[in-house]
Amino acid sequence: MVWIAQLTDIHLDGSEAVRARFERVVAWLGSIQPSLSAILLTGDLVEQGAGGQEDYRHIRDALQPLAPVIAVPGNADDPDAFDTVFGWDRNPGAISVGSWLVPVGEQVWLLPLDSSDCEENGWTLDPEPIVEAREELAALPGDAVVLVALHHPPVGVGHQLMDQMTLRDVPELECMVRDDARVVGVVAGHIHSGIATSFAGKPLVVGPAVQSQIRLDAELSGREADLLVDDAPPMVTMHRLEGGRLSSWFHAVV
Amino acid sequence: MIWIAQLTDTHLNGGESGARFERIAAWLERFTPPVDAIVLTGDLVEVGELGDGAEVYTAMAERLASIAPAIAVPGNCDDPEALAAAFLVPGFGVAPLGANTVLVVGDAVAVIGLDSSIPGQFEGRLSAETLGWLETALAALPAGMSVILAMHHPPVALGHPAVDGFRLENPDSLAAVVRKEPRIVGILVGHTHGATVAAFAGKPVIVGPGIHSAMTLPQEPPTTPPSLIDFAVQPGVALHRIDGDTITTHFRSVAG
Repeated sequence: MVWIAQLTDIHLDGSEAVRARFERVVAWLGSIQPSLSAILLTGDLVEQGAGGQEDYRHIRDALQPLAPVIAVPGNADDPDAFDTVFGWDRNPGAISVGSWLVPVGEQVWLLPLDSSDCEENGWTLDPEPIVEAREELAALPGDAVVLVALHHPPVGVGHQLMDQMTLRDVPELECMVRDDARVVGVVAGHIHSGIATSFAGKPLVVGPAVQSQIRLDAELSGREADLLVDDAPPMVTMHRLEGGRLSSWFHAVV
Repeated sequence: MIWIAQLTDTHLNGGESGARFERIAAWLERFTPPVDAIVLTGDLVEVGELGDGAEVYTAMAERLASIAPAIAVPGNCDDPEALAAAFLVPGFGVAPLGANTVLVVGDAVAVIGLDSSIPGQFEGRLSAETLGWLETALAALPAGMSVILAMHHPPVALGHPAVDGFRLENPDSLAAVVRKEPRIVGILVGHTHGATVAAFAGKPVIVGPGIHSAMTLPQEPPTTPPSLIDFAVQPGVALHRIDGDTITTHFRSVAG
């Protein structure tokens, strides 16, 4: 059985309050037994313009003693600083240079994808890694299990404000997820809320943020300034993979 | 587009859990627009501590009726008869059988509530009568309707040894019905006091967070005295958005 802890949208910004939320999650992760197969970071690790390389190092150094860390960047991340610390070729256990799949347990792989490039009408995902990953997938055994990870949910989640800008359609992603039975689901971040829906016929799980939670449309009734719930506890998503089945627990760290 | 709020495991016992339920009700009451329906997935009242709980069920049903139409299913702590008498959902094309009933929301979504409780036991089971009634209810629903199943016990193991042993005992009988019914878009359950998503018979299974308390995860260090119950976690709600054959669930915790 494989357990993966997903941390997302940490948004380190130099403030003590945000850092303390991250430290609480680190302390909790350090307290649990047995240990995790991997820690997955799904982007927006630092606040745009307010975090730097030292913040990425801090995150890596805090988590690496607990489990192998695999990260994808979000739109708030600094691409160069992120790459220096978390570039995919630094992903632990990468099969070889040029390989996209990261093994995290017996017959379990993560496929981290970078959706942080922004164009006029939304974020984009380079299809090339997906095309190459499909070739790698072809070489995996039939009972292999693959979980796709990226920052932006590939479909709208039913939140007016957060759905204004979405990931542009990537047919290669949709085809891979739909066609390959070994892809059991997609995990994302970005929204700052624990959400479960589906994409290409598979579960799509959006992890709630470490930094803050958000209010729903019906709570806001147009008051966009009230979007963030700052006093909600930081959250972690615990993904369990057993016999090709994904179950995901949303856990508040109090 | 339909929004359904799922409230579960309130465990009303005359104590603190009443305030946690009221916190959720007051929060939900402020929604603009309001949710289209409320689904309660069991363990609503600690009937052992409060007789058959009839008055508590009635008060709960009245409180929620001011917010949205509500349907409730019993869990292992409930009295199915007292619960069904208080929530009185008349069914749709099929008469209720005990606590099994149907609530149609708008004209596009039907919530089928199933009684999975076994008197005096933690684990759950769908009786042959309940499964037969489910097939009759499905046959009575129009072709284009999206169907949500609601019951207390998860039909799959979720990876928590303390509760996995007390799940639905006969999932295969339910899977046989679910697999041949494309109108079913999701299965809502409670019981384990933790916001969780999994899959069963090709459909999403969504476990609502406990209002009474949260459950500690199996990896967390044991507490002194040993307990699976964490009251420090805020009570939560699962909000389900149903759009055609897609269900999208938002989990929200509610501060006091």
